Amino acid sequence: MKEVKLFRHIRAPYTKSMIYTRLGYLKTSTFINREQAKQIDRWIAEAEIICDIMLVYRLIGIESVCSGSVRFSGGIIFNSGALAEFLKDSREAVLMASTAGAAIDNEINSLQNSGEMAKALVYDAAASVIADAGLDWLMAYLRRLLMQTGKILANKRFSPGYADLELYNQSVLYDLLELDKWGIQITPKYMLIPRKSVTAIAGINAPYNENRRENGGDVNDKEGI
Amino acid sequence: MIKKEFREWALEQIRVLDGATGTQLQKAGMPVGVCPEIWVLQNPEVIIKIQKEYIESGSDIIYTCTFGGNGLKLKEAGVEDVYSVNRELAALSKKAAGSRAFVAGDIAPTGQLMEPFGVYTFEDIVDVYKEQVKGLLDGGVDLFVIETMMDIQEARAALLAVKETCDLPVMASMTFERGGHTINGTDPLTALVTLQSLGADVVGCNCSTGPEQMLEIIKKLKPFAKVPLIAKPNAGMPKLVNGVTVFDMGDDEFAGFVEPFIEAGVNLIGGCCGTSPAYIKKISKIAKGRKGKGIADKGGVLVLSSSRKTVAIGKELPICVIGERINPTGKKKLRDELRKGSMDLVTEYAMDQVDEGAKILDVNAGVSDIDEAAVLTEITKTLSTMVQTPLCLDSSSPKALEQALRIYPGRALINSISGEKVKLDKILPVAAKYGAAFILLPLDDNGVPETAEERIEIVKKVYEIAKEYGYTKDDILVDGMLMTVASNQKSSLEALKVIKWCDQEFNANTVIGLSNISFGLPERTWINAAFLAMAASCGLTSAIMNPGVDVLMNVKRASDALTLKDKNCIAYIKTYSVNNNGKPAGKLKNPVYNAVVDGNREDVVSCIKVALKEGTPPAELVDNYLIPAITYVGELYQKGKYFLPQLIQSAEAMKSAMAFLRPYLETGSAVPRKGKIILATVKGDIHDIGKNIVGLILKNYGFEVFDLGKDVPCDVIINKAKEVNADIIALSALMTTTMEEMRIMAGYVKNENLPFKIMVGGAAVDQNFAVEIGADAYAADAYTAVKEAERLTDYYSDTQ
Repeated sequence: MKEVKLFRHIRAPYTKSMIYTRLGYLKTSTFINREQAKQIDRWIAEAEIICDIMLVYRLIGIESVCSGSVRFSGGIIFNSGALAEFLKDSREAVLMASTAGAAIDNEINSLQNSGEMAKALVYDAAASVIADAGLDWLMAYLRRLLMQTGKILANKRFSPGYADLELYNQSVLYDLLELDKWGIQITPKYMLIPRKSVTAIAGINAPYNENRRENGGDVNDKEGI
Repeated sequence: MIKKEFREWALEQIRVLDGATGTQLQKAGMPVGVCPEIWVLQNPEVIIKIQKEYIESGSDIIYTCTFGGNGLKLKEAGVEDVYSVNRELAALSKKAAGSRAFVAGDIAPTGQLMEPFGVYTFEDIVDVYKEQVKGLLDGGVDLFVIETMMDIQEARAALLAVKETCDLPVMASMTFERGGHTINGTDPLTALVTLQSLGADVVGCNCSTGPEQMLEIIKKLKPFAKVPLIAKPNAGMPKLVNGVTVFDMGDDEFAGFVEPFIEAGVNLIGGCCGTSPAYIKKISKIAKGRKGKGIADKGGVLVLSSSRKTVAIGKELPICVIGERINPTGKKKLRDELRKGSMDLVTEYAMDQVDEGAKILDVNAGVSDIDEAAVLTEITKTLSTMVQTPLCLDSSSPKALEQALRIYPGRALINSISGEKVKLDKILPVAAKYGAAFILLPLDDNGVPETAEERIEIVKKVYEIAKEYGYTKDDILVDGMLMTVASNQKSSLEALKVIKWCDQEFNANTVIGLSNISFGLPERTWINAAFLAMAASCGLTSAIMNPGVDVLMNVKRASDALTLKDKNCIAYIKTYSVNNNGKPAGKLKNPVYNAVVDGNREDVVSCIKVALKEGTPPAELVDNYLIPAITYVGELYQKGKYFLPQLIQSAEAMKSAMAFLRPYLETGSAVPRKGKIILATVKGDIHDIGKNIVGLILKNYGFEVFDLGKDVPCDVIINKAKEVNADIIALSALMTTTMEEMRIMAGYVKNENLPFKIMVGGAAVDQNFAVEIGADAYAADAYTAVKEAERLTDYYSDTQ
């Protein structure tokens, strides 16, 4: 297992239309006048400034993939058939987390308390999309670095709470990514605080090579990614 | 080879580059996971063989095997002697090339991010690259190539490292994602503008996704490229087949793109990941000896860039607005903020001006008692990440300008360089080093000339000197030198003459500091607006002005339309057309009603005051306008004509209206109470915005809502429901781990035979779950919650 790495203050490009979609905007039917659109765009821009994206990731070897579980190096097991299917061709994985930070959480709360619900709602949707865009950014970054070494990072990622990967696995990722060191907390019901935080797993495919350990340890310890 | 010779050589005919090195090394036996640079030094015959094969296949330039040869990468592989590794690897490539090909010292990403994203400063990264450059230089490389760059700022650092170490030519090549941007959002044109102005001799792209998408990028770049263009795509995208990485495009298919690349304007072509000497051979067969396209003559357009956006200024383009407000002169609050080191107001002014239509932001940090260089640099850093708009650095301090330009991740505009000796001696070289465009101010050490003719002479003189630094007319904005008409009324006409001369004879773009003209006069806006229109008719191409003044922006847009810069008046129509206001049909013509439908919280109270003054009874306002308005909004929302923010804005307007009217309303004439609802996010769940929205909307539709907040235990909810004799308990949960609390609550209410209906909602919940736990209703959204609550309360009333 490699060391945990961290990027702070990332400005990940995001798609504004995804925020609109999240808010229920329908391209074919929703009317929005110029002033309202300007207002919402301004709120999105403000939210972007308040979001302070921090990304944490760690590469980990996959020891074995069975039909209903995945065993990572260090004997860490995730019981999930869907995750096993997702990682069946992978020999490594990247564990990752993105948080939009405490400031946007506080601002959303403060807006709600002062009765500015529309603004709070737009901030909330923007922060969700921007936090997710952080993981897109991280995957694009890692994909490019891995490509130079002949490895392929999967296009998709898998998060706890989806399919049969129960949400409690978020606490395993939390520990593996040492998120407590970076000011992220986890509740007894496995929710992350700041609330606009997300964790995920993506597989890395690599060509067969003589460096691979028999027991499935890390493939590429000196690669430096 | 000197830079000029290299550029001519690159333009003379299509030049062929090499293909992939990494995949070739792996084919030759290099294990995955080792440090390629060290492995190659241990197996030098392998790289020599590969590079000879490339040269025999037609490569005119081969890249040294130093992709990971920078100090930060080598350190991770446990290598300390960066200089020697690079020198020896360069020497190996020289040995392979002999006199048959040029050797480019390969510089690539460090794999680290610099401030504010990572721990390294810009200067750290420049120093890391300089160390590598020195090794490659002493190993005998003929030129440098900066390749596969994902971050424009890292590419700039590498380019400066080469420029500050030697005079050899340098090629710079970025890699773009599937959407056509780098991972940090830099588009290809912005990368081109930034890198060519900073001194790259060739610019282009490599790696990325494959030739098809890269071809489209080259097509877009060519009209703006002042340097030869490079394309070095992957052989498609990699896939893992039977444990082996393969690229999905064969050499024949790959070679099929060579002709379109030449047609699009590529001057140097090769291959990246997945290509081999076989690919290069096929490229050479088609491209060798062919004459490529020269530099496109896109004269008359000045381009500036930030890290994410390019802005063009030109005769045929709408007048470019340069926002003037980030200037502490006459702004005490901004001065105080800058003294405290706060960037809050700067950010606010920047966002406001961008919203109002500024395409470039002028930034000035000229405050007494502060370190101008430090503050200007801080503003530049802040705005570089906050807004996409390019910056105009407004300072007369060479030190401040150099510091800010060094870290600015784009091509900035300098305000300004005049004929004064100190400006020519100190600022012009700094501007040239960083490739900044500049505003040419027609004054000199004798002061501001009175006449246009004298000003024109200064413009010519400064331009001649700037040419020696490589500047062209497309790199400057001539200032009309606007002075206040309060002290010299002829000043306006002289400025217009300068603008007209630039437009019709000198062929350079122009700018004015608009507000200068009215200084000392009352009602300055009229003077400013009138002059803007006059200057537009003389060919003005940009103006430093306040985009927050509607009159000025209206005159600008009208002038653009009347001077044919706004083709077919499209922008004008888009801005001012009343048919494009997006309002759904069917609205009543009552201002109170309209304010709620439009979600106009600010105006609704003033509209009500007017209505009350005109004699409309308060209850009539509620019954005839407010309730119909919020009902209509609900219908629009249900039909998808409004989306959630609009529904909530209307609800907020309604809430303001009711709060204002409450004291005026007689008992019984307010919105009828439809029932009492206990609202809570269940125990263990910390998400509450959805629940809060439901609460707001329910209140607007006449329900009495008792919002208990989030993470609320079951007994607290039950006790409150009993206390207020509630009709409905409405529960929200976002997560699968917390929605089970709803089951407990529903079971408890049923088992205890309590007279409360249960309504559930939230991201994790659906209709099936609601049925499964025995809830009385499921609300997918806030408006459905209203409808379901109405249904439940009617049912409840009926059964009493």
